[in-house]
Amino acid sequence: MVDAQYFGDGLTNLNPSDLKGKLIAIEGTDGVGRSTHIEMLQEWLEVQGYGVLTTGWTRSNLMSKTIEMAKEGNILDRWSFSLLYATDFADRLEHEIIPALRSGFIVLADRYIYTAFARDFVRSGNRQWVRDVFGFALVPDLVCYLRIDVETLVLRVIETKGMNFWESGMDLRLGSDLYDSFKKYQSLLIEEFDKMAEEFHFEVIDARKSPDEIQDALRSKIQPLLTTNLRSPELPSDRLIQPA
Amino acid sequence: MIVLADRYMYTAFARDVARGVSPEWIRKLYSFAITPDMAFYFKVPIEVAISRLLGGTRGQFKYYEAGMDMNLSPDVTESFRIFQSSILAQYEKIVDEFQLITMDATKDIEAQQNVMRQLVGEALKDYKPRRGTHGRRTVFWRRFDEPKSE
Repeated sequence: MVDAQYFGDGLTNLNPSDLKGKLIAIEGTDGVGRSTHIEMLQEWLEVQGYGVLTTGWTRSNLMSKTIEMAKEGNILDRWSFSLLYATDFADRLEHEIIPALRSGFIVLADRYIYTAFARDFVRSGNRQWVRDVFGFALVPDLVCYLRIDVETLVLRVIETKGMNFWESGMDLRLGSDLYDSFKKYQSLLIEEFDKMAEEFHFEVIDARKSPDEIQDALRSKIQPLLTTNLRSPELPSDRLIQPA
Repeated sequence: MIVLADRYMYTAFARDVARGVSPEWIRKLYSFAITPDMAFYFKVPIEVAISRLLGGTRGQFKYYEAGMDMNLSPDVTESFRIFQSSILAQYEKIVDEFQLITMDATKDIEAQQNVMRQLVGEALKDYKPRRGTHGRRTVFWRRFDEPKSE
């Protein structure tokens, strides 16, 4: 990240231009297939000899259990909702993302600050506060946005894991039932993602296509970022252990 | 109702900035906080704080209050002195910025309490007390145990 920078007010004790790796964020709404594609990207990169770290929303050691518990209680309001996720992100930034970038890894982020921006905006109608909160985030080298329309998304989610309270934005009382609310909530999120896609120059990938086509599209966006000096020099790629 | 807050956003403004967080960022973060009707700052010189903590029932410093995470000094007391001095310097700015009422916390408790009661009493002279319950206190909106204050 040669010209790496913070999104807003950064960490005063860390100069981000020292970070050698690449930060790639994969954004897109619930059920769009992010984690499947990230798994495939990780394997694709690792067999070429790149060090890869995958980091996902709510997966920090510090906060994952707390967030689970708070979600179960269905008692989150706008501030606590956004701050829990910001804390989770801060913990992963300090303990996963920055150390990995410093050692030249490619970091694949399953969701990034734009998810928080969309969710907070849908709940508050205000864009500024949450963007200020995430000022300490690093601006990614690349943001790929898996874009889907809500009709296709609904079919996909019903066929797979179903809808839950928070993915349906039930706290917002947008609809009379889970299905109704899911559609309205996800439509609002997609609308906001579409606006951010222009503002922050996301690479938009059509997530209605087949998994193979999506994966190819992702790889073609990532390829230009890859440089040979990120590769591990000692280990030829055929000796690397394939991820399970 | 009257809300008594043991520490407020000013703690974060002092402590987190002493830890290297941007002063602008921390203020924006807490911009959703309600500005208190009154805010007191209990001021003591660093040496008084050290001797109270070491001489009191606790008899030692906690890891984070001594700023041991910041590698200021291997000696806990010295680390506490460096870290808390920088917090006190931040508080000096905060007192002016937010018009906190500075209390001379080197005085004895009774003298301090008398000053506070007089100031709070004046501030509450037009306040009509209201109570929902009579002595029964329940926290009804949290499923979790009530957390302890620092």
